[in-house]
Amino acid sequence: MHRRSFLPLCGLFCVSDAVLAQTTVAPNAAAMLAASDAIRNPSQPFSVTVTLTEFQAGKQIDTSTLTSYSRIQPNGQFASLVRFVQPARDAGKLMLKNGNDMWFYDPASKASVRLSPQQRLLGQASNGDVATVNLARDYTATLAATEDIKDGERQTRRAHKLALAASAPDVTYASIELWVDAADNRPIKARFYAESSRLLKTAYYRRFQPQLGANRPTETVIIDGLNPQSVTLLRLSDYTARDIPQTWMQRDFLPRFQPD
Amino acid sequence: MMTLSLAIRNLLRNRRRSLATLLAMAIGAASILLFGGFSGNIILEMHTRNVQRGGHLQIQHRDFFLFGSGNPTAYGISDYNDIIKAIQSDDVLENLIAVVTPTLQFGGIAGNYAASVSRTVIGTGYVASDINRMRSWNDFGLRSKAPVSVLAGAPPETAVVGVGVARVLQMCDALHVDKCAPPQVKADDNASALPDDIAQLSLQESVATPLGPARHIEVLIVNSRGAPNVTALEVIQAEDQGIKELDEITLITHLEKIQKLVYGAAQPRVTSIVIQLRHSDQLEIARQRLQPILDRYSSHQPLALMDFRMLNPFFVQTEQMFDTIFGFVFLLIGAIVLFTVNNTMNTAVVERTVEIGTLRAIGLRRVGIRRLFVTEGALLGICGAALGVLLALLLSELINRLDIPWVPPSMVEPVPLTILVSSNPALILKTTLGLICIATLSAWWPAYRAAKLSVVDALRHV
Repeated sequence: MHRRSFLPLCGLFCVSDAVLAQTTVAPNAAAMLAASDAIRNPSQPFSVTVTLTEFQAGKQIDTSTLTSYSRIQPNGQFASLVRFVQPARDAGKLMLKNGNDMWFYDPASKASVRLSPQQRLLGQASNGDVATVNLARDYTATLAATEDIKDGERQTRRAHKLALAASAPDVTYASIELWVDAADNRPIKARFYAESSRLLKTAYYRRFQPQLGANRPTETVIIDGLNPQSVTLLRLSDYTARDIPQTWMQRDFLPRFQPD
Repeated sequence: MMTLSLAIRNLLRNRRRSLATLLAMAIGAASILLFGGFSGNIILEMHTRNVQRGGHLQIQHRDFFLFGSGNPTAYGISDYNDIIKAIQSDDVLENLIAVVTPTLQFGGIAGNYAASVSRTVIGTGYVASDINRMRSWNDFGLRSKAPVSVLAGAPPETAVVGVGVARVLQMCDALHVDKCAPPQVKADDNASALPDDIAQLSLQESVATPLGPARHIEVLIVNSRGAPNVTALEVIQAEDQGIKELDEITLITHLEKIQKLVYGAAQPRVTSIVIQLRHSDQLEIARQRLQPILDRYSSHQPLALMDFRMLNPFFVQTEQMFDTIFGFVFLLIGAIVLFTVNNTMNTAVVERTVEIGTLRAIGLRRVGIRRLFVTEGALLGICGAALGVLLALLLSELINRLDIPWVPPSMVEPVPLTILVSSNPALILKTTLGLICIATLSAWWPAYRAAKLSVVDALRHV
């Protein structure tokens, strides 16, 4: 931007300065959002081992291990094929999340079931929308504040608070508050709200480790907004870049899936 | 005429036998009538209850009845206010209709997160003031009364749940539901605890959103665009729905609140328009008047008119079951009557063999003999049935006055046992005619045998 060339014309075009000032802040918020997305998830197709631990009222009630194969679809949104590894009773079961469709497949009975949005209100299926989601695509960001917050490891950090409003009609959360680190755009904390402005989930991103080319949060703590006693810990490990073809992300492929 | 007077005199010749047969018939007739009155009352109670709850007719999206239970809000009617206005402005319908009101059915999850429990519910949003107007319908003059809903006049953030929902959400004490002990939760001491640092994070969040008092629930639904939405409601009453399965899923709340939750800022819809008529027998007339209104508004959404029988298959099944049982009882008692009259007439024929021979000898034709005995049988039938009707009327009156309380199936509170005989002339007529026919028929075979007797042998009979 050649601001110096505009200065002589300031008297006639002083409004342009204000416009310039706005245009330099707004892409900042969008850029911050895009940067935090890039930190959370790699842009190339990858597989990751997810360890899910559920706590209720301070006691662990369930734990499972999944392998997730994710890629960004041509429309910009994430699609994930998840394979259950632990516990043994669930080993081999598959879940496919492609946009708003979620399919569940059981190889023992060869049955596949589509989970409707109604059926995804509770349980781990509702956490799928928090883990891999491309926020920049579905939300418009505005900078709400810059403040100090305690991050997932209870350290105080300076963060930009972004207010995200849904721009696509079919997103799960009507609005999100996202705190990104002022220094390096790491996502620190996110609050997910329903249309009635009730808090549905809170997520803390922690344990940043170098994985696949960037420092990514390898642990996400999801606290249920309606029932704060319910906490889910998502631990991500063994990020591997791999070739995941588009054909995997279809319901018809589920019976033919072979893990390698 | 001669036959009739002869038949009467013949019957009076052996009063004891005639009386015994009459009494058997009368008790049979009374049993049939009492059972018919009892089942008739149950059917009327169920009919009244169904009309109080869901009206006589409902305007719904054509596919809502069969497919709507999977996703009710996808089958909404968009311009329901115009349809209601059109119905209210029709002059014929104005005289037929008692209440017209819109309702919205939705599926969701109700949670009492103070106790960490939740339950899927099927909720209905009503215009609260219309609930009690509909519940006051009592065209058959029954003695049982529907409970008054406290939702009318309550603030918009309130709801009424079924007793089962209150029990599962552990709100029994708060809502004064009895017979509801809290479940014994086995504490798993071996489970590992939440790591401390995460526990701190969780505590941070708990302070931010304080949990409400004991009667608050969070209702989580999926709105019309597929995203979750949640609201807090205060439960003001746990109402027994009569059927355990319904109790465990029912949530009743205000229409506007749910519309805002489901449709947000978009145009609100309803899943059905409920129409309650003043009298059930005007249903067909109302249907004829409503069909053109429906056709007018069906251009962009297929609408269908469902009557309460279509919407309540359980009611139709119960009706059919009682009709079948009634048929059984009638057959049974008819068989007994048949046998009794047959026995009486057979005995009479054997006893009067000489008399029959004499009659034939002096010129009475076989037809005349048959006619004589059949008339006797018919007379027994008429008197027995008449006596039975009288007995049934007396007994039903007595039982009704005793006010014996009982809880019919799918009812909530005990109602006084009522047997409707006097108000059911069709039943009385059918039973009487039926029994007379049976008595007449059963006298035919002995009459035939009597007529076939050879005159000479009959005269010589000892």
